[in-house]
Amino acid sequence: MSDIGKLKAKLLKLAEAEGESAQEGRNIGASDVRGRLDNLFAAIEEIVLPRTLNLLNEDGQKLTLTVKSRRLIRLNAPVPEGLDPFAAVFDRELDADNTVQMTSLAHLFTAYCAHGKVLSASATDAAKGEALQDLGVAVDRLRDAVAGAGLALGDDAIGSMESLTQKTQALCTAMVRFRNVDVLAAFGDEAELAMLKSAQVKALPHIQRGERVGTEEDAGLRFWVFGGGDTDERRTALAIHRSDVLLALLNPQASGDWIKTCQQVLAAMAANR
Amino acid sequence: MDMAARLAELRGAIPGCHVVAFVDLSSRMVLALDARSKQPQERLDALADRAERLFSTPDIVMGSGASTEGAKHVITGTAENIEGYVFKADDGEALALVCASATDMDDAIAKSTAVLAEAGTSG
Repeated sequence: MSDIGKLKAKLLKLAEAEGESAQEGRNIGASDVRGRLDNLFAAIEEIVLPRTLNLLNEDGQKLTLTVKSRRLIRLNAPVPEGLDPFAAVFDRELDADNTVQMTSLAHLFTAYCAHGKVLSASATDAAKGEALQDLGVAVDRLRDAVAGAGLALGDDAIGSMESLTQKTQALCTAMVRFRNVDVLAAFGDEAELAMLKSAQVKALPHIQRGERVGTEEDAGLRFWVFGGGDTDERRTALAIHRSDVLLALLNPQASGDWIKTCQQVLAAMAANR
Repeated sequence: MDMAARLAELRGAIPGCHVVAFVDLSSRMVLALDARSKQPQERLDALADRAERLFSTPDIVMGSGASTEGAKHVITGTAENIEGYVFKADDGEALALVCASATDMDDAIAKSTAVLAEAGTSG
């Protein structure tokens, strides 16, 4: 065999070996959400050539990313079950300067990792397509977005407003979390976000006075669901813990689950006192 | 059927419901009541007071685009109980429910809304 032939055979073997490892995937699980996110972002950073990164978590949610040049290029449909509120960031060009989009990505990846350990990440060749022309988002920007969203990432976050935010993301189509006048996190389409932010501005004086909504006593987390005459209508949910306020637009029929989650968080808060 | 009988029937139709109170919002008074056990007056006063406050909370935007001034219902609670309030804005009346936390509040609100509407039409 000529030298060129040997080289070709070696390259073929290497390619086969790469294919085998890609098929098997690798466990990027960690004990807490922060660790899983770190591992997930590290997996993106390791990819230079265009690849499809296939993720699978404990809940069986499959998330498929197009990755190139250590950057997230696109999130590919279908949207995993339970992550419907983030459908707006799938199958579209990502822009690191789009704050709403980056916040959605931060919430999406955190929610995905919070649903259970990420069991595997396997990279396969990316399909050729216009997505590969996109600039995408650098991993550092994703890390910044997660940090900026004020999400709780450790196991010690159980029983907190952060925990409530994470646990109820899948129940909402839009959500704004703020502390006093500062918006800590927001996701949802622009019209719904505008409506919630308007509610925030109008409700804030009453919330701050703490005298117009329900009981005055400090019961830890306080929560409300407001609705119209038809129980099939969309409802607005409000949760307050000290100066932390969460306003959300619930999916139809999601109020029961939202209330149950509030009660679980409230019970955890009481247990931690 | 008088209001007391309506409330008894409503409470019986909602598994886990401990208290159903018919509240006049302007006077913040419980006008009629059906409860699993005798309720102290201060608890009823607090329930009526809360109903009025929730009803008058302005401009927290509803999912449907309405404001709380036109809100038909509010659900709130603690770790142990869930409270539901159904308002009839025109007559300044409300039904207040106190239920166990596992209660299906969508069902409870729907049934309460129907009772409040019937009470209005039958005088």
